[in-house]
Amino acid sequence: MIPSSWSWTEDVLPLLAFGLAFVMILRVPVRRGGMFNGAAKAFFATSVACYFISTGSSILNHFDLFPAELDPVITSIELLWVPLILFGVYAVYSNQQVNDAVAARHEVVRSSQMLESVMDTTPAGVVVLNGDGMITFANPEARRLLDMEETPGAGSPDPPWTVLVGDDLDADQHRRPDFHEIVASEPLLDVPVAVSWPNGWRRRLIVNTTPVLDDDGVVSGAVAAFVEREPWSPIARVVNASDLH
Amino acid sequence: MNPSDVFRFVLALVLLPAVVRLGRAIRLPQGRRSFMYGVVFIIIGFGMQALAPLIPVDVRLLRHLVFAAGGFSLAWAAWEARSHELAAAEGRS
Repeated sequence: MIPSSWSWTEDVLPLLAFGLAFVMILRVPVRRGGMFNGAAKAFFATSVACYFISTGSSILNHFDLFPAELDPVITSIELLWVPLILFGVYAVYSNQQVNDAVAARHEVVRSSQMLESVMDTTPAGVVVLNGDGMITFANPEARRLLDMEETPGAGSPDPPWTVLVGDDLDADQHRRPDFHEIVASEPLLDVPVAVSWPNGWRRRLIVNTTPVLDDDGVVSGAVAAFVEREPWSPIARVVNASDLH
Repeated sequence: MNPSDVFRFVLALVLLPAVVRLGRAIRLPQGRRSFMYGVVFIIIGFGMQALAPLIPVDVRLLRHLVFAAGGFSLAWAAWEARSHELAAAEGRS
């Protein structure tokens, strides 16, 4: 090769193009939650650098400044462009997926905090029941109405009270220490429920429920909200039932 | 035909669907289009280089222009990505 054989269009233009692309990629900012992470930027920069080196070696060849024994290396470098550009796109894509997952998690946390605030401040008792009618979550008002010190968990002992669905407070049948009867496949509205303690103390509640379905559409529990139908007495509202046992 | 050129062209063609599918999923409309153009230009350049002995006319100049177009397209895609990231960092997108 002689110096006069090189041309702007064949040698300098591709060199300028890939050099510009290389600089532009280096100037893409990497930030938390952004589209590019360090790996994506490195893959793209390296892939473009491969061709920058290749076109640069071509110009050096015209001036006999590029050692001939390095030609196979240049061939390998050019070959690297193909997987590197794929890795770069994959890194951007996976980074985007991670960002989506992080944003979704933050949204879930925000929703959870808001729901917790609503649960803590609502004047109605709200409980989450499993398929057997056992309470798995109770908000503060529900714990007050049902005289529970804390939300029962798995393996907790049965509560001291029994539940009777209906208006007949003296019926002894169907009394159970859970809300099994109001776990239904349809929402229930204004269901009268009596909760009785062994010492004869009781509360009459008006309960609304909505079913909780699992992935197969089978009822796996219910969410029940209730208010006291007739307060026992002004004193009873402030005295814990446990004090009366 | 140079075997390494043919191999590179075939490898690029094999991986092209993966690049296109991943590229289409990236939420950067303007930069994505420029990036795709860049990749396609460069792969066309690979093809012109690999198949040059089978092409009756001299495509050397055209091949370099295609490579340059690919390079400029990638540069434009990087510029769009940079603008997008800066705008996002300032809360404008």
